[in-house]
Amino acid sequence: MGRRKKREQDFEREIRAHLALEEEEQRNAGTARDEAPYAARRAFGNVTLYQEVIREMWGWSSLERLGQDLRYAIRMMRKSPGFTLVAILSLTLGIGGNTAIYSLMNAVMLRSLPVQEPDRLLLFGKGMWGGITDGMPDRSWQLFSYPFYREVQRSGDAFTGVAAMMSLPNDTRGAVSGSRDSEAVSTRLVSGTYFDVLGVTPAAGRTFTDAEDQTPGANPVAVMSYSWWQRRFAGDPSAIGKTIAIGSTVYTIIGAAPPEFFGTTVGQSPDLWIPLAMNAQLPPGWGGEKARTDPLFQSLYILARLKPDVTVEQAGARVNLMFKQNLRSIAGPAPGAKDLNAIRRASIELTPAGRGLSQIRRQFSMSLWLLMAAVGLVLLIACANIANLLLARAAGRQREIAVRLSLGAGRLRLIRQMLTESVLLAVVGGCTGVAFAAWAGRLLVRMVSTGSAILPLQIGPDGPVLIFTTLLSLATGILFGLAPALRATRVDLSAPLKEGRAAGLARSRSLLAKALVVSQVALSAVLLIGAGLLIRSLVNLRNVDTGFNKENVLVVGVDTPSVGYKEDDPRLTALYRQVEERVSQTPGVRAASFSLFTFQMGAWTSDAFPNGRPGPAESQREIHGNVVGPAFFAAMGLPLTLGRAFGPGDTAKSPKIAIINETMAHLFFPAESPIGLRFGYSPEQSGEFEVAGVVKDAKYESLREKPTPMAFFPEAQRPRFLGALLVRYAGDPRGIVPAIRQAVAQANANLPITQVRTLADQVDDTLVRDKLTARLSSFFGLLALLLASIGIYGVLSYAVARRTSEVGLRMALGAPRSSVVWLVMRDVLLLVAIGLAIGVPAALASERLISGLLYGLPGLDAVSIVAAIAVLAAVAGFAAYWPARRASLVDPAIALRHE
Amino acid sequence: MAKAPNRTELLQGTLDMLILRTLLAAPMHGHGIAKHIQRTSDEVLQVEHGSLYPALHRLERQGWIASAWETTERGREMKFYRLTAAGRAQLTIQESKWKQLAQAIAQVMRPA
Repeated sequence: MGRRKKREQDFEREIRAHLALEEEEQRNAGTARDEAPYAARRAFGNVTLYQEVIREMWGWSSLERLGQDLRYAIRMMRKSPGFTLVAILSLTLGIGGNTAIYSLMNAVMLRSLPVQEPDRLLLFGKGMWGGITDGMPDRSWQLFSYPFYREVQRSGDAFTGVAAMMSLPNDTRGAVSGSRDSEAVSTRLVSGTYFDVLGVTPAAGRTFTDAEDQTPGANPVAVMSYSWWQRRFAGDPSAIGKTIAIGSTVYTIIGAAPPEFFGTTVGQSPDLWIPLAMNAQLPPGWGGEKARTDPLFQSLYILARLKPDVTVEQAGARVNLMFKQNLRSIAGPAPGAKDLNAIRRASIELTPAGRGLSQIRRQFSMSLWLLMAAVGLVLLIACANIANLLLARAAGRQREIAVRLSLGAGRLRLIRQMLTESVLLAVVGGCTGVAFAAWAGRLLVRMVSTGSAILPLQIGPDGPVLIFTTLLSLATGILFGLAPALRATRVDLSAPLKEGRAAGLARSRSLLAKALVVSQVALSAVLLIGAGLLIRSLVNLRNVDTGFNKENVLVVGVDTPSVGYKEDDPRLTALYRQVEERVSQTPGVRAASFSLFTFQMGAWTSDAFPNGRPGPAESQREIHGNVVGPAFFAAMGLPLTLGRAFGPGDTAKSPKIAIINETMAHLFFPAESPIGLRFGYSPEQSGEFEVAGVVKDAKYESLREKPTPMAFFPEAQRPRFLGALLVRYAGDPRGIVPAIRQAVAQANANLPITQVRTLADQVDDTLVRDKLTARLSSFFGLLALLLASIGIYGVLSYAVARRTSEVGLRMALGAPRSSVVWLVMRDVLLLVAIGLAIGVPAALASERLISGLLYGLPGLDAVSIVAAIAVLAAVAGFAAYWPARRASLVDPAIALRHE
Repeated sequence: MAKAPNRTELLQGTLDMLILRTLLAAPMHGHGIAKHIQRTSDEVLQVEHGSLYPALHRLERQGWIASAWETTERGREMKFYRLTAAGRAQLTIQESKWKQLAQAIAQVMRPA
């Protein structure tokens, strides 16, 4: 600072000395005494400019100048608090909204797993399925068997390490040592190589190894997540070494994962990881011993770390070769044509797994892109608004700017100063925006979460988010600041210095302002029409006929595996029967039935074959299946159209029967009554099940699904762990829940109830994405509308102020008030019309992009378009009316004297 | 101010060379340099005095000239600039470049 000052003073002194000497010489040459100083200055040129140039040259001034500009900018902001407040508020909403959506996108779609070199991790398949499949692979495959995992691991030529994860969660209950009660624990079965392949080092204790994952049931160990360690043990180091009893096995907790590691699936954060070798012991014991040996019991995700010198293509070629060889050995020495065909089509696509697996990514990515675009448009509208306000303010500063320019200030310098102002505004807006985003982000996570549990997503403002917001704020500041700054400094120096207004400048200013209003209207139209389409889709989805009666039904989650029976234990069926009977005897309960799946909870699919009939084409053979109790159809309110429902007479020993839905009846048994006819899951066993009844079609997995062929099997004939108890009730459900709990406890004291929800909620939860998109896009649409109306109001107020004398003259000549109002509003309505003429086609063009999110809106949706146009026109008219009215109230005498 | 009979705009970059050449003879202050250039060019080269200073400061920053406040014979405090060794070398370079340029232009204008 001191050196700068000194240099500046030094130069001033140099100039003074120079001018004094020149003055003296001028006098000596005969210039008049009082003329000499001016002559000296003329010979020197623009003193300020040269000072500025030199200051710049020494390079020390840029920081100092920034400080000056900032101080000046703060002064300007303080001078017009109204403008500053409106600007910062709209920037907060704009930048904050962008940041919030971006941080959700970052957490769900963009962020890498907190593991070593995530970009070298590959997933076999895309992780699109979760569950167990026993079919011969015949397309791009997603789930793999344990023997295949080991084979890939042994071959080891493309990967430095291979890990496997059970694709299904083992959410169960366990009792920690020293505690009598069991509690819910979310566990995941992973291979012994899991932590090594990911390169995750424990925060405490150790992780398990491949050696502990060799012998089935031999090593009951568990690694806990950091958050569970904190939650359950308050981070106590002595938790390591404690045990937890799950099912009939006691597991030793050997370590804790690091805080940032939540697993490999975004949107899930299990409490414990347990070696795959414990699969048969850990409830529900998916597939038991078979899961380790059967090459067609395919339930695993395989994750591998690519060797440094191997490309993804090379690895893919080797994996596919291995896969086909493996399948050929499964098919046996003389494979049938069907198997050969399947093997030919079977393949494994290696996909980058650095960002982890995610169901919510698939579910939400399109919505998030859409919302990102919408909130981006809102920010653009806000920018247009602030640019307009800055323009208006710059018009008020015209004389100041002209004076500064004529005193020798460089144009670039002035532009830089004005940009400093706008960037400062944007940065302040960015800071408040980050605070807003932190709040809005939590709200967003709650909006994408279903049920009572909040999705474990880390959406805090981390590095990438802050970089995004900073860049966005700077870009925003330049975007709305540049045009006004350029316009304001393009000044005819002599005109504004004279009294009165420069008409030419005002016209070009208002042209820019008009263009801004037009673009605001166009962008708002796009947002409003989009919001309209999404709302209409949501309404359509809400009105979809589910086929069942979702009201007055409770879905009670029951953890049947934790009782300790095996899946094929006859006691399990007896337990189901007991619980169903007890619960249905509870006052207020109409019907109670177990079910393998309830709405959207999954499905089991397989090809089916009718007995003695050609059956549907190969591509239509796949049917869904469910295992249910006798009272299932009564509990769901699903009417039978033919035959009978299941009854107590359908036991393990009675003939095997099934109830099919209408779609399956039409597909498999066209033009005849299917009652008494048979079908099976292979051509050889097509006589396995006799159709006992036909039930009305319903939606099973999604409200958007087309009619799906479905078969129901009685719980007694197809033993499974059934996790849901459906209870149809009458009256107030709050009194019934404790009664149900009591009834279940009476049937079996060791049968834990995990959660109780209504079927209506469960159906509604499948609309979480649609609700999120519809709500947020309408919010953004309304925000856009508000900002656009502020813009229209501002532009018109300015125009009215400028035309005061014209209006006065017209009125003095006898124009009625109404014609004055019309005179002013005509302009705005023209702008709105132009904006709509641009915005509506743009919205229609972008409708195709979001068609995946829409439902039941074939082609153009006139309702959305007309509604958007009407709302926009009404709001624009309202915003324009007030300035117009003000103009019409002008007293002609005052107006004429005005200028 | 008397109008020069034939004013010529200085070529970009030549001003530096003229300043260095002027200072080769003796240390000089800004005003003196301006007058010297005007005088020796028979008033053809007319520099706006102010424009000299950015050039002087630039040359000083590059280490080709150095400055100090001194008192003139007539008792005025003026800032004097003098050529440094690096400046002398630079002048040689610029001069030979300029000669090449002048020659080239001359050849174009008056082909042999």
